[in-house]
Amino acid sequence: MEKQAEKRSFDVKATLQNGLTYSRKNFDQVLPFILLVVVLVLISIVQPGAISGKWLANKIDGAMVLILASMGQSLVMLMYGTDLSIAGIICLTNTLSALFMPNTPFGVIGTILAMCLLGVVAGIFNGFIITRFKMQPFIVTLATWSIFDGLALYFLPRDGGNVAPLYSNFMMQRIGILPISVFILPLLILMWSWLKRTRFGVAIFAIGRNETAAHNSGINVNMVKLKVYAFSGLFAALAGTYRTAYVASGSPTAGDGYVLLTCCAAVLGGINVASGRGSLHRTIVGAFVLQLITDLLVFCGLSTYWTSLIQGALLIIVVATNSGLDLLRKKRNLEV
Amino acid sequence: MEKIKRIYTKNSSIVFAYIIAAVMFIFVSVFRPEFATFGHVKVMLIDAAILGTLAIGQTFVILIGGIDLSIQWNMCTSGIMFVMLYKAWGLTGWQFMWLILLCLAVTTAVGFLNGLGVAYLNMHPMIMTYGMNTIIQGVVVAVTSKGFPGGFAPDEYYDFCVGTTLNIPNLVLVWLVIIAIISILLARTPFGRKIYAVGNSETVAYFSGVKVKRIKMLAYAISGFAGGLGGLLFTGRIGQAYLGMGDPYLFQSVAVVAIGGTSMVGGSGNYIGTVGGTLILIILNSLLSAFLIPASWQKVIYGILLLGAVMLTYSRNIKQGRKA
Repeated sequence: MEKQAEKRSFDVKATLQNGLTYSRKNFDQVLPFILLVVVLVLISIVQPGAISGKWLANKIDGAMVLILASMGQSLVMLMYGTDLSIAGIICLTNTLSALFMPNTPFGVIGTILAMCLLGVVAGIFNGFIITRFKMQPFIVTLATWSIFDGLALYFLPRDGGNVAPLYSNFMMQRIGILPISVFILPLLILMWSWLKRTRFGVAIFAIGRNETAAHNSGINVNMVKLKVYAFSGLFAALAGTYRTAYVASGSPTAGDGYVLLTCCAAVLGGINVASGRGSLHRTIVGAFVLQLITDLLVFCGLSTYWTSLIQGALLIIVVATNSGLDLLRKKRNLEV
Repeated sequence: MEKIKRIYTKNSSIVFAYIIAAVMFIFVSVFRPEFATFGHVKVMLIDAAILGTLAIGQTFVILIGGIDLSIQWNMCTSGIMFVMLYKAWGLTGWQFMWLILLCLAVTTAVGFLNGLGVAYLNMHPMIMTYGMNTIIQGVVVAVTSKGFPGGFAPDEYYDFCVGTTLNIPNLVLVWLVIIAIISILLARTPFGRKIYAVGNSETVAYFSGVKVKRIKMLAYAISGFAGGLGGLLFTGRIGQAYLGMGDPYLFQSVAVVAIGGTSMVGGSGNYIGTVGGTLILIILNSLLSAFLIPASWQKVIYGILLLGAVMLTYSRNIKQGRKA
């Protein structure tokens, strides 16, 4: 009762204190928002007047491939797995949709659906081998990465392809100043809000915390894993298909950078592999921050060579801090 | 006889790897007689020496149940550093020996950092090593961006690497020495025993008094060392170093360990198996180029090969587990 009363009168001090306690305990969960603000402030200092509605819309367009791909990676990482084949699936769907999409409305929709199906099948293939043969995810997905990459290279030996103008024009059009990708974001947010409340969503978290315990409490671990890899494949396929519209060309090596980028976005967004915590909403923020950091470096006049260095360093620093904090927390809990 | 049989059942996957290598070799030689000439075998063995050296690190790391994805740019770092510093410092003749030590020290340090993150900070090995890979890639590319990326190996070093002793390539001799050292290290020393103990069960190893974290860190350090050494051998073989020279080797180094019958969850397998896997992959490489298979299908075949190898090892382990 008291709490409710407090809430109604909105005690600033108490709210602030609650917030501080929360952020101290869940540093990894607050980090993406802090980083977002810091990066935006830095950009407006380095390049005053750069931030505008139009600029942000362009950025969301640019970050969409990464956001979609990181959604799948985050789901997998929540279960203490990794999916390297995301890179291969992006390459494959990117090349296929750039090559074979007919320039009719039904053709476009059909191709997108076919690509999604392809991604799901590829993901199920990963998941089947991982669960049936009880193998390390990274080794299986490393192998399938090579397979999908090879197939992409077979269809399209070098960058190019003729993208259906209807498709890329539709995806790149502006409604007012809002790009189409802005309408994808709420869909993604709604999806995760719904998914995490389902049995499936809860099972993902359970497996991430403790696989044996999840199995013992009656969760069909293999089935959940299979579904998660299928989801990961689906999101990678969406990312690849979106890239076709965004770049308006296909590339058999487009996805290779996304192994690191998706892991980095997921980790920046607070997906904690060791403790199985995290949320896909924050992954979106993480992916967006990663995109902005690249721009910040360009604004600062650093050559693109440094981007990969900074991305790698960011990944390691964030993961190291998170797992270091986890270790400390565990130690403290044991001592008390 | 009993003993031989026991050794065979224990290492059946390794024997299997060598049999496949032999069968493949005979198969190709029938269709392409020039495949079996002494000159071509020599070339293949030199390639195998480089890949085999790189795979040392991967063997150690996979034996403790991890993975090292930083091998490709570790290799590139040592190669590029070697040729660039040789030119920049104006060294002559055999002074490059010191440079070799320096390059190996740098890559070993990178391996140590990997190990620190994985063992002491409890980070996922894939994230740690792939992040590290990107970092050293960034450093190397940024440092070389000013001038010509790469350069040529010192003449004396190049002559040694392509030279032969008693008609056997020097690199192959180096590799034979390495095989002997690594096999003894894994099978006959406390350190090797501890590697297997940690790979089988970290908890059990910990309670048996093994310093698990230290062993893990050392395994990654060895991987860094092997990556550097492989890069130097590669530089010597082709006489120059260039950016991205390690890129094909990440996948191949993992694949040969898997083909050699080392379990991906750690704890079983050895370097002799990796050597067998290396031979298979090298023969497959030249087989694919002999039959003019395009790069795209090569990638697909490699992927299927890796998957098949891992699955075979798994099913064999299950069978043995049931017998025991």
